[in-house]
Amino acid sequence: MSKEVKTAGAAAVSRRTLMKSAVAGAGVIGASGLCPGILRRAWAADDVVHIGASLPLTGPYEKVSKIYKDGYDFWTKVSGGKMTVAGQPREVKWTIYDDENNASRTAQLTEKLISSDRVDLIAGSYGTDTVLAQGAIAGKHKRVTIQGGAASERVDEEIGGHTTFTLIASSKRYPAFAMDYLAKRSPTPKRVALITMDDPVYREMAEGVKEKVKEHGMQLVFEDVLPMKVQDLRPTALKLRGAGEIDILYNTGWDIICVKLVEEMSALGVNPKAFIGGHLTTSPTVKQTLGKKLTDVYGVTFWLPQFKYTDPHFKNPAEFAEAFKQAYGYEPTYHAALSYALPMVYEAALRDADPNNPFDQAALRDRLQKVKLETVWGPISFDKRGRIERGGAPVIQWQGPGPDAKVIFPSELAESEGAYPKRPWA
Amino acid sequence: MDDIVIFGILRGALFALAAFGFSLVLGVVGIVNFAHGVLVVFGGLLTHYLVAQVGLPYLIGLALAAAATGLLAGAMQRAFIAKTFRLHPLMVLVQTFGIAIVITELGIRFWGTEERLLRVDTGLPPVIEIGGKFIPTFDVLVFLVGLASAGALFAILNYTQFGRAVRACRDNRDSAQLCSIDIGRTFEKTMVVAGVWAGLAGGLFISLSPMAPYMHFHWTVDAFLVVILGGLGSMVGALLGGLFYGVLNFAAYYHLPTLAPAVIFAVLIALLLIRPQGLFGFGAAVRK
Amino acid sequence: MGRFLKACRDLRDGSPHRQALAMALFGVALCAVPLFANDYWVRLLVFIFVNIALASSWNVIGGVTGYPSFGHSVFFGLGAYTAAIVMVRYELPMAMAMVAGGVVAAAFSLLFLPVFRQKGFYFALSTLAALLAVETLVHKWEFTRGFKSWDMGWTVPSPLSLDASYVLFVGLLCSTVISVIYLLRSKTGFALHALHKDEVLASSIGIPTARYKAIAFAASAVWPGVIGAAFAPFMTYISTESMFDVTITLNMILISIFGGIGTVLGPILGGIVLSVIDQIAWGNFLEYHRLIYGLLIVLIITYKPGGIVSWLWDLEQRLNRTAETPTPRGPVTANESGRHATIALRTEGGTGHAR
Repeated sequence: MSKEVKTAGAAAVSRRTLMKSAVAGAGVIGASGLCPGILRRAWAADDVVHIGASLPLTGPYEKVSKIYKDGYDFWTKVSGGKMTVAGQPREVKWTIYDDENNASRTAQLTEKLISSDRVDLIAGSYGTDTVLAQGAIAGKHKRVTIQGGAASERVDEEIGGHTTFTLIASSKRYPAFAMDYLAKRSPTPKRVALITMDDPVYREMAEGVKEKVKEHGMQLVFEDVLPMKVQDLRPTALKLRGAGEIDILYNTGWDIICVKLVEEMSALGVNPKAFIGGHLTTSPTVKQTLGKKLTDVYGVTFWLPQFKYTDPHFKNPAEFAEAFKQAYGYEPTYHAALSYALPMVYEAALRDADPNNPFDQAALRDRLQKVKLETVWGPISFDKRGRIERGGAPVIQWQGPGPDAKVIFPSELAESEGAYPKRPWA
Repeated sequence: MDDIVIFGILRGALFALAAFGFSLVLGVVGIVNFAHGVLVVFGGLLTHYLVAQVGLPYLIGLALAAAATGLLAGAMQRAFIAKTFRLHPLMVLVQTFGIAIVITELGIRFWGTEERLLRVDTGLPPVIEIGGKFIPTFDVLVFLVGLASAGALFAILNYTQFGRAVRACRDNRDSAQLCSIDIGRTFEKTMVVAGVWAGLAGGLFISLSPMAPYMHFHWTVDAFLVVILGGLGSMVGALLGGLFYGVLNFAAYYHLPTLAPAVIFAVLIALLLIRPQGLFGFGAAVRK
Repeated sequence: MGRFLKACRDLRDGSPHRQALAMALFGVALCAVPLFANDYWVRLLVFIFVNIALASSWNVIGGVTGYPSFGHSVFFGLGAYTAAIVMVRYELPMAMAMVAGGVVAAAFSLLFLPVFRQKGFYFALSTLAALLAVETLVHKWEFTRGFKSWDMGWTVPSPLSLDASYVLFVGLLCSTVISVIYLLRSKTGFALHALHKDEVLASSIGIPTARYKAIAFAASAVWPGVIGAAFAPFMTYISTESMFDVTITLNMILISIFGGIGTVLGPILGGIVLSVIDQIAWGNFLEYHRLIYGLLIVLIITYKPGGIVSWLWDLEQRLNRTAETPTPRGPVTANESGRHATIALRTEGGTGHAR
């Protein structure tokens, strides 16, 4: 009998203990959520602008996010660590997290930036899924973000204009100028081949190419759609070889795809009259790995130091590039110019803000919609869906002994004539 | 069609090279080494460093890198795997996965995440004509190296004492111990050999295609697929499996690129169901 | 501390009803958190709950039955996509989407039956291959790919507020864990333990191993399906890359191993501890957090393969100096032949006799 009592007692003890610990446990978790919140609220001082961002700082996009981060850092340096808000200069504070290019992480981190860290402004992430995830959370809190890391139209459709403003042009526009330029060469190109990656951004670029093919009366003789995970470009090169004469080959893929394509084409003897390597031919890896093989290759790019834009801090992008290189030891790519300009867009929108509530998101949204400024990144203004207004990406060709990227179109920015057709692979 | 077979086989030799070590380790030590891909990438990047930065000639850089990779694998075995291989294979697998992450991160600290490609001047003409087809010379060289290594490994396994010890451990670990074969040392040597061959594969691959630290997992999966296809534990099986996988891969990406991953994995699953000992494996199927 | 641990041990050894009750009470207590924590913590906790629930489900097939499934996130992804299709294309309510998610996942799991004939790592690779194959197919097939034929990914608006979602996920977590508790104490559970230890022996004494494996796998697939379906509207934007990610499976495995594979408490503790470590690493060691993550994995398996749970029980034994019948040292041991290691699970009561 005593045994029963004991077991009953023990059971009661254990049940009680467990209930206590369950409540305690939940309480600890909740309390630890409360404390930093309290501390943080006291800290949100009046003379600070707190900007929050998340980037894929580890993983395959590490090198790109480093450039973004350095761009933000560079702007901070150049503006003396201060942003003018409602007429008064404020100290700038950055909080940047690593989202590992993971949508769930990004959602978590955005929530953290908004609810825990209480940032005043949000800078976008990199990649379609992550930017959308960030937009979802920001949208729930009725806040705005500015991003330069996702070009897909899906961003405009889902979160553009009311939540997100996009500093990078729509991916459909990327091929526009290149196709226009090539359409005027002689002999007139007719046969076009296209390499498309199976992902919204690249499919949209391919759409852009196809529209131009139709517009200029050309013919799409071959298209290869490749999964994002593709490793070997040789099957594609082999198919290209079998497709006959190719006048224009457009690669929508990123820098590594361009590198692999060139390697395989030169190995198998595929010689299109023009090869457009895509929008990332200016990535340092491309030149390092391809070297002379880059000669006569075209690329599209939204930014090069040679462009003639003006900026509040720099005479032209070349000066910006030189200063950036001095500070960080490498040549900036377009990502640096973009991320450098991002805080400036906020500043332009906040200069005349209401001093009593400068970071009111609804007012900020309205002013961002109307913003117009000229920066190293070029002229910035947004359309109804929060997308930067750009006609197309200027065309470059790799020329000379380097070879080096020379702008060949449009004529306002051109520094050299383009060569057509392409000479055989080096 | 024959283009597909030819190019598939050429690339397949590299897959086989990478898979030899994996197969050995799986058959002998009994573990799935998730860090295997890291060894391949390490070998490749180290070769690049030695040739491009330090300025060594390619063959020497390649040999040194392969040796270093072997040492790395041996260190892995001694420091970590030796303590855990008696556990459930899943545990070891996850441990090697952890090791893979650690080495990758350390590698990134040193090398950065950039992709690297090595230009090798062989002094030979860029293409060779074989049977009316123009084939890049370097790929043929790599293919020949692959065959030669398979032969070398085969010889080692069958004609040396080390090879006998390895085969004994693979076939029956307890009897091997009874014959006073030192299991620990044999495992270590097996891992070193696996590392050397993986490093060699990486060093050769980096002259054909860019490599970066984050690519390691895909190499591990490829090695695993080759071993499954070719059959466990036999070098000939790994070679043939590699060639077959090369052709399968090429054909899939040629005809149905966006569905290629599904096709390849469906073939794998089908093979596992119908012939789990691999296409070229001998002996009874290994069942749980 | 010793008393607390002893109470936990009694709970573990005691009836499943008490364990279920404890879990339910814990869940109720958790529901109070949104009252005083900010949105960030609420959202973070949802992610933690999802991870724990997924790990618990994986544990049934991976830890208890001993068939490590490396493609388990396929069920999560299928659940998410089912919800997307049900809610966006057919405009049906979320509850139906969750049920559908579970059904689709369970049905799909039965397709794996032939694969169960494989040995451990072949099974693992087959499931991984299946994950990658399904991901490619879902991405390619126009019906599943997106709402409009050229879309890639779905937009699934959520009918619930953040706090309501939180409560839902608490409920899902408790349901998952409680069902695992009862499963492991049922006839099926004992059959699974038996066939893990020695499948040939188990089948030779008349246990229909194939049937039990099927039940285990389906049971381990249902909850990821339901949770995936609930997760889709929570994230709002889904794509194959985010929902079929292989790292989701790796997390499941890691949490289970870290916490204590084959145990009920393991995934829960593992999930909590790993999340805490994760948060600290992110906040303070940004550049090294992946390295820390990898190191943790290596260290725990090298030095304490039984996970946190085994460490806790060892601590409890030391604190209370219970000299009972010696239970196997650590839950992970090798059997006599030394070739085929098994995970010896703690049977209840410490007396080691099966019922």
